[in-house]
Amino acid sequence: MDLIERYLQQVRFWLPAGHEDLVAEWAEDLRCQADEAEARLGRPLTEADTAELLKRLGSPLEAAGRIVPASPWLDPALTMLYRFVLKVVLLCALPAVFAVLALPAALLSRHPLAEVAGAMESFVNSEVYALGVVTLVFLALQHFRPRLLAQWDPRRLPPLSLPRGLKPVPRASSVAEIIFGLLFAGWWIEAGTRLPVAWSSRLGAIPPTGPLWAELRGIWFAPILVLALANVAVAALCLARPHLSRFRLAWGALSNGAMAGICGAALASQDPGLQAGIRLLAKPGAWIPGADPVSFLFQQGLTLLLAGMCVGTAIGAVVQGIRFLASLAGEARETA
Amino acid sequence: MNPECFENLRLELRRGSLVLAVLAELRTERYGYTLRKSLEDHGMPVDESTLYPLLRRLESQGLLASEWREEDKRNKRFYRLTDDGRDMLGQLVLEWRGIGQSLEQIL
Repeated sequence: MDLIERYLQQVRFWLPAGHEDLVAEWAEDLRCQADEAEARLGRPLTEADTAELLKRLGSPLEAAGRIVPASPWLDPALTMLYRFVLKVVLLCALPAVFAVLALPAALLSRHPLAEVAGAMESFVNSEVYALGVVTLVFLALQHFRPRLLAQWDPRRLPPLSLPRGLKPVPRASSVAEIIFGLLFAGWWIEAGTRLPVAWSSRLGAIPPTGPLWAELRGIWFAPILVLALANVAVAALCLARPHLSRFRLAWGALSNGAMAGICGAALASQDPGLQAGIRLLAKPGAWIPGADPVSFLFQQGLTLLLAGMCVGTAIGAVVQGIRFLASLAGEARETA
Repeated sequence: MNPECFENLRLELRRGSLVLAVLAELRTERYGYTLRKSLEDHGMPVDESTLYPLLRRLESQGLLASEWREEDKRNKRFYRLTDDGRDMLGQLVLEWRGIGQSLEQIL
């Protein structure tokens, strides 16, 4: 029965929301088939018997594809995969890149309206271009379709390790984490020369300065880079194995805690900067006499950003830690 | 003869008559697995990924009613024909017989 549950877990993953009832009914059908096979054989089913039963249904991707209406020019399994890739690329990856890179750069430019309009036009063009490229790739796959799905083996299905109350890690969020993590790591490596927001604006030419920035780029450079790359590695692992929800929670608690610690330590080493940040919060128009306006704003902005990150990541660490411990406690109760 | 082409046309032909067979079988209340077995025993095998979406569609059209009930310590979804479904089945049976007679004359 474990193999059946593992199979249905994968079918659920590929189906759009709203099919839970149908999968529950299908699960009961499969259990009836297993009961019938056991009665016929006069013994409990082995893993190999159950694997044979499931092979008849096809891979989870194929089974899910037969439930949801297929595209007229792709077979059901490829249709599911095509829709998934389109969702990730058009609704997650491109909008995220646009929102994080292009939009802030446009807003900080000399002519924000014109730049935003230009960025929007580029975004729409990128979406259309990506739609075309993804469609062409899938048409090619349909034409030269490898027989990978035919070699599918139920015994290699991911284990059923989702404790009650935990859902699989959404693949779209893993993809977004990988993209942002790599973008951040790339920028962090060369961040001594320019700001992240403004390749096309005047601010892009201003090198980041200030004691807090120097502190971050000094002793905290390597820990931040390692943390970002470790996050990318964990997201890649969760993309391949979405059922690692509990591991993801534990890692989230640890990495958020580490980030909160780094932010807190960097802020604590900059006591005057912290005080200036608090003064700025209390009285936004406040100015330090004689300070370079851009450097002052950068230092204060960075102070407030780090303070926000410190609080946000600390809350994230506590929430994820509690959810991780709750899932462990739930499993212990069930076992007892 | 192209076997793949024949298989596609055969499935198309059977798909059209599957609704009629399902409605007729559900004059008696059944759950999914027993319905599938009954159809199979009558020479109309149908796979799970075809039957369950079809049952959802017929239910959303008001032709079937369903409820989850426990039987043998397991939850099962039982289906039965509604009054509208019974009327529809009567109409479809008349239509089916008409098509059969016409085809007999043509063939």
